[in-house]
Amino acid sequence: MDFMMGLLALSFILMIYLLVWNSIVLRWDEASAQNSMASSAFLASESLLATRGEPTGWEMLPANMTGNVTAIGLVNGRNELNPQKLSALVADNATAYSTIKARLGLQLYDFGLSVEDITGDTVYYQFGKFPGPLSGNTVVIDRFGILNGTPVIVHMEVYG
Amino acid sequence: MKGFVITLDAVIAISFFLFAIIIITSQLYQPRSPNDLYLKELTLDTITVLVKTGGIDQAIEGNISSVQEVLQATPDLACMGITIYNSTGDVVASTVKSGCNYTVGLDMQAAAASERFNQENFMVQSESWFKAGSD
Repeated sequence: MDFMMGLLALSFILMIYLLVWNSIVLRWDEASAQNSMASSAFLASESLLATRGEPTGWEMLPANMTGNVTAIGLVNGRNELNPQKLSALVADNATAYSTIKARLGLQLYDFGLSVEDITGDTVYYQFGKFPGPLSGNTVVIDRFGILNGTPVIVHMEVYG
Repeated sequence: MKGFVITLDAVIAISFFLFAIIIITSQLYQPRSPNDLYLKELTLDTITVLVKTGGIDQAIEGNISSVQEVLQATPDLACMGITIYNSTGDVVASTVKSGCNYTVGLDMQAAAASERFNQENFMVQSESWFKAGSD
């Protein structure tokens, strides 16, 4: 009788322990996944706004997304957006979205990028796919750039 | 009865042990958030853009509207302030994003840049922090 009661109490405690542990692990996984996506989004924005890409004149290549380009950057100097690079990126939207994602380290996610005026009212360039209302977790990154001598917002939404 | 007491004692001991493990492990595991890095880069972006587009020069001349316009365009979760010092360390211009206040104990990110205007050197300092309750 004592043994049975002890076993019952032990089983009850173990069950509670497993339930609590499971819920903690699920929360850790969620936080890790969110942080991983946020880090990737941040690094992609850094690549776009702080580098020229590799090769630096990638926008001039005729078939610029077919393995010749190893990194994508949109600026001449830090934050100084190059309209030609932006146009090349937008032009490749339909055919090279996945390749560009991979070059930015975002192969696990989807993303949309827009270059807007400082008030956010006018969109000058738009690339990629923006999330719908049911797209799950989304990381939004807003950075500043300079386009034709004026400050603009480079808005990124990464989700998946 | 004695057996029951011994079993109960063991069960209580095991439950304490297991929950102690849960508490210790949950305290040790701190997922690293890139938010601070993002705030740092946003601070650098702001100062770079203001220096390169002439917003800082305008602020030195007394027109701080361009600086305020850029500060207002920062994400809602971020607060930011810009201060410009002359070569003797006096404040030439200073502004903070509206709805934000400097508070003691804030976890801040800072960046600085130099600017030369009308043959005089200036130091631009930008400080940013997360709005209370946004992180």
